[in-house]
Amino acid sequence: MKRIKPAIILLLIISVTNCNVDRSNTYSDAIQRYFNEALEVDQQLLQENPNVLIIPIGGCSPCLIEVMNHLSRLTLKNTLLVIVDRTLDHDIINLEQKLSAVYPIVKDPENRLMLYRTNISNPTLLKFDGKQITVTSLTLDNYEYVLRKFNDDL
Amino acid sequence: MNKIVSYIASISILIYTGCSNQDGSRFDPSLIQSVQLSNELSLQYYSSDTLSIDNSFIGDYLDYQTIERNDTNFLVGINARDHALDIINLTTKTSENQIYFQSEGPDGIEGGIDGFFYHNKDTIFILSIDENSIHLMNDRAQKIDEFNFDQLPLPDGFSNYDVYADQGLMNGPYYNSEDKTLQFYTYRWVDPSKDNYDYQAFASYSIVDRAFKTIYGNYPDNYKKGVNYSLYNDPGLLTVGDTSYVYFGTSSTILCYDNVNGELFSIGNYSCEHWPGEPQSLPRNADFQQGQDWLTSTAAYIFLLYDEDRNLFYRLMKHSQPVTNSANLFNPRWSGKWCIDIFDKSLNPIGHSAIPSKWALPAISFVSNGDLWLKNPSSEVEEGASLYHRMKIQENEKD
Repeated sequence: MKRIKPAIILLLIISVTNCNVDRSNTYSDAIQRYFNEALEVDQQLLQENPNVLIIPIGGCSPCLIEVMNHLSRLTLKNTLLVIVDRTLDHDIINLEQKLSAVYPIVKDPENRLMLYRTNISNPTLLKFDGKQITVTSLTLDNYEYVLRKFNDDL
Repeated sequence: MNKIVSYIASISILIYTGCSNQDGSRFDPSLIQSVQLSNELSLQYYSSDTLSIDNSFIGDYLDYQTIERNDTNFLVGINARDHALDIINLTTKTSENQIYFQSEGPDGIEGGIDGFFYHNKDTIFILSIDENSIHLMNDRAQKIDEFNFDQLPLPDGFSNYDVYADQGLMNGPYYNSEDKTLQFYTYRWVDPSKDNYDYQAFASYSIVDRAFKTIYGNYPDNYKKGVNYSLYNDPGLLTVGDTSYVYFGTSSTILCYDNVNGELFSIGNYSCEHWPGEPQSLPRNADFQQGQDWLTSTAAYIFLLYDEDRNLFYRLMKHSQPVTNSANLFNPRWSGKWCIDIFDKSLNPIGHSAIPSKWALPAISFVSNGDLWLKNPSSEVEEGASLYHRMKIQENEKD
């Protein structure tokens, strides 16, 4: 009986409740602070790449591999990847290497993302527009549509 | 005829489990022990130890067991990366060997290794949630038998369940070698919004008869329709011979069942001064961060461990802690204060010890040869090394 574990169910529920585009900015200040303090991302880099994909690789997000695979087939312009945490999974490590040839990457191997209470637990697309950050949580159901639309809009 | 008997038995069990006491509780109040702490024992720091663990990236196991072989003690842990069990010698503190399992073929375990019980070198049970199976293996990774539960309803007739073992919690499987039964958690696929927890969480399964003997493990009264205790929705289990001790993160009760007949015979209900009582439920629609914040701020009973050399139980409780620190950064869930209740075999509380914040990570802990090992969370550690503090029982001086 092939079933999804409750931990994954929990993440799925989280994904659904986070669902899609969040412009309410509930966690914008926390995300901004994470970029300024933990990642120390150069403002120039963010201006050049106002689109950011945060990819936590240490958890069990059900769409992680799919999103990384999909990204490796696209070439999203002006997009910065933030790779959070570490993994033992060779498939993910290989995909990370593949992506690093295409995208600028900032790493957060100690998962400082968690310390900043950003509400991000699975692959998430951020669009920085001045002080506003649009947050789109990627799920198995939406990632293809979101990334394709995002690519078309670029 | 057999079907009729089975039907009547199922109905009887349903009626039995559906019953509650006059006060609305699921439990007979006469079973609840009235006890007071007698401060006879405490746990004292004894040594710092370093295990060389080949599973170097993680450095620790989320599902593990201690065993004794030829007067030597070992830690056995699931190595998910290698589809193996790692065996660490606790005397030499180095990896002794690994049991690598095949993923296919006659000896294969196709699903993940989610739980295990090492009885002896010829009797190792591997639980795989994906397969809804428990495999009986030996230490040469050969399959002796396999028990699949896809077509086997529980004794109360419920069939949409998986055999289950939580990573990071302790809830089996266990093997009762005298009775030749496996004790394990059965995860029921119930709509969370309709789940009223009015059923038994654990099963006793005869590997000889290939049939369930009984189910047991009622949820405490605070587990009811609509509650969401996140990780602590899942119960804990400790089995010592014929007795199964069932416990829950958000309740101070320890339920003692005879796992041969499923009878609840005693309820421990002691809590120390640090226990703030049952927590408020998370909202059903809580987002990820609310869930994380709740886990940090909520006190919870995490493990019940058994020291077979001293016939003592240690119950580990993480305290409630603020969600953020003075720098307004998140306090990780396990990094606050902990304390340990010490119980005798009859669950009388006979000691209590405090664990300061950041000193230990008792979410990874085990008992071996009369010592309690607690993970040392120091980040100053070489690759492949896993640090522990070892604690020993000490008699307190009488006033």
